[in-house]
Amino acid sequence: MSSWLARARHFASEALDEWRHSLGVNALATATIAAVVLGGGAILLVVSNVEAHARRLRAEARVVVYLRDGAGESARRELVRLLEATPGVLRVDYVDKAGALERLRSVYGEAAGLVGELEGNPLPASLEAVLAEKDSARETARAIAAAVAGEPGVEEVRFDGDWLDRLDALLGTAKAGGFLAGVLVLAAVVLLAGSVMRLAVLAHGEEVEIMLLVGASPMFVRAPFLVAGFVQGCAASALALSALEAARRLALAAMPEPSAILLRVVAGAPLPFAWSAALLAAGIAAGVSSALFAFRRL
Amino acid sequence: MIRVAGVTKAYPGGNVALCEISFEVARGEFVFVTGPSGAGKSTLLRLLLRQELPTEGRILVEGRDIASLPAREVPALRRSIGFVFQDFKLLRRKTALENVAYVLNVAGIPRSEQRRRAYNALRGVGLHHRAGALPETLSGGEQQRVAIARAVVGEPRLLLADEPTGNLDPDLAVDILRLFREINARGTTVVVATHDRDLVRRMQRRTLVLDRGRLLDGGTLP
Repeated sequence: MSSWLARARHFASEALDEWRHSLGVNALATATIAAVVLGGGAILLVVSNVEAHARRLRAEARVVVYLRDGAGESARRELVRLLEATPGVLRVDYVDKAGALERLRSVYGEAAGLVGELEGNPLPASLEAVLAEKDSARETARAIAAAVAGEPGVEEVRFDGDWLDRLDALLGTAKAGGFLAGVLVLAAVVLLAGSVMRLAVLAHGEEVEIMLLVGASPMFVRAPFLVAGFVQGCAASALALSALEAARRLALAAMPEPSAILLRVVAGAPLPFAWSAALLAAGIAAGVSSALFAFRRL
Repeated sequence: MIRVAGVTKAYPGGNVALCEISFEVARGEFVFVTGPSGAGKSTLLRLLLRQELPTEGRILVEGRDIASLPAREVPALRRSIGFVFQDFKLLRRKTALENVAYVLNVAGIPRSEQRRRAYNALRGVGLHHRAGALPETLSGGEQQRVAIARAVVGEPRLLLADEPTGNLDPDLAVDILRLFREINARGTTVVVATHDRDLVRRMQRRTLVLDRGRLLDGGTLP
């Protein structure tokens, strides 16, 4: 155990030494990784926020079945049964005519007084089917329309949230495309940072040769560079994620209304922990892979 | 200790550095390999360290055929051989003590033991007072002595030296060879490649004479 610790200490001290002596090259490699993690983090920040926003909207998405005036209690009960039996429907709320008027007033304030000036309450009662998040809103709306079509108490079925499905599809595509682009960019970073690190290795080519000649195994020679790559990836990712979060907070604080509304949609919440951890891991992987790439022909 | 049988080393392009060389070196022997520049002395030593592979023939070091040694066993072979290079090959960023201790570090010797043995090895070559000096601050002779300390600190049974006095003035060269003789007296087999015939004559040891890749003399044990 102590020999392992001694080895680890040796590799760490060699890595530090290597960093000190190739400061420019190592700083460049770190900056490259940090820039990519920052870019990837910014994309993931927007995707995660828009996704969370869509999830909130979906939770509020509902299909409204307007009832004919004079639809009886039994017809309403039958419709509630049909709606509750439809897959994707979480629950059914009944809004009577007075409730509809009250809601209109709460939304439009004094403008809703015009409706009050009309003779009687022209707003219809309705049944609102609240949709489960996991199901396709458009498909559920279609199923509801099919289920209640021809029922005597139904005036109209309306659903204004089918854009959520399109948004979901868009987010799915963005995530898949982003993942693919991320892998490609990361591979490019490994090549780039690896080539930069290879300059450091070549600069120490004579030393590496000496180490091998006096009996060091390739792994013994490579290990300090791997440690340096690990620390580089770690530092670059931490730096990039901190910068991203600082920029997000600064922008939210500095952005005046109403532009801030859009900013809150795309960057209102910080990057989720799991995604931050994934980016940190990607940065570390890039650092270590770059070191391996730099030593590919040892 | 060493058995070289029918070894040829040819490079792409047809340049033959060694041609059907055969000789043996007994355990505890001190042998010179001499010949003019380009005779194949350095190539021979590189083959013994498994820096290069022979085109033909076998090289046995302590009974092991080093040409057929798997790559993963090469570091252990090199750790069992001390090697002194003409151009010293010291690690520039390490002090004299660290250079010597590196060999022990590679072998997994505990740090305190590394430093103690490295210091003793430096004392053995009279350089313990320069233990903290970087190679660039040392003279050529001092650097060569650090390199010798590094070569012997692991107590190898075989010490190879490639033109160890090539960059040194004559007085220093004699000093260095005296060190080799002392090391040899402790039981280490020593093979020194040099083109300095005066030095060889003065030492009066078995000499393998190479010329244009062929062994002219000294291949048989005395």
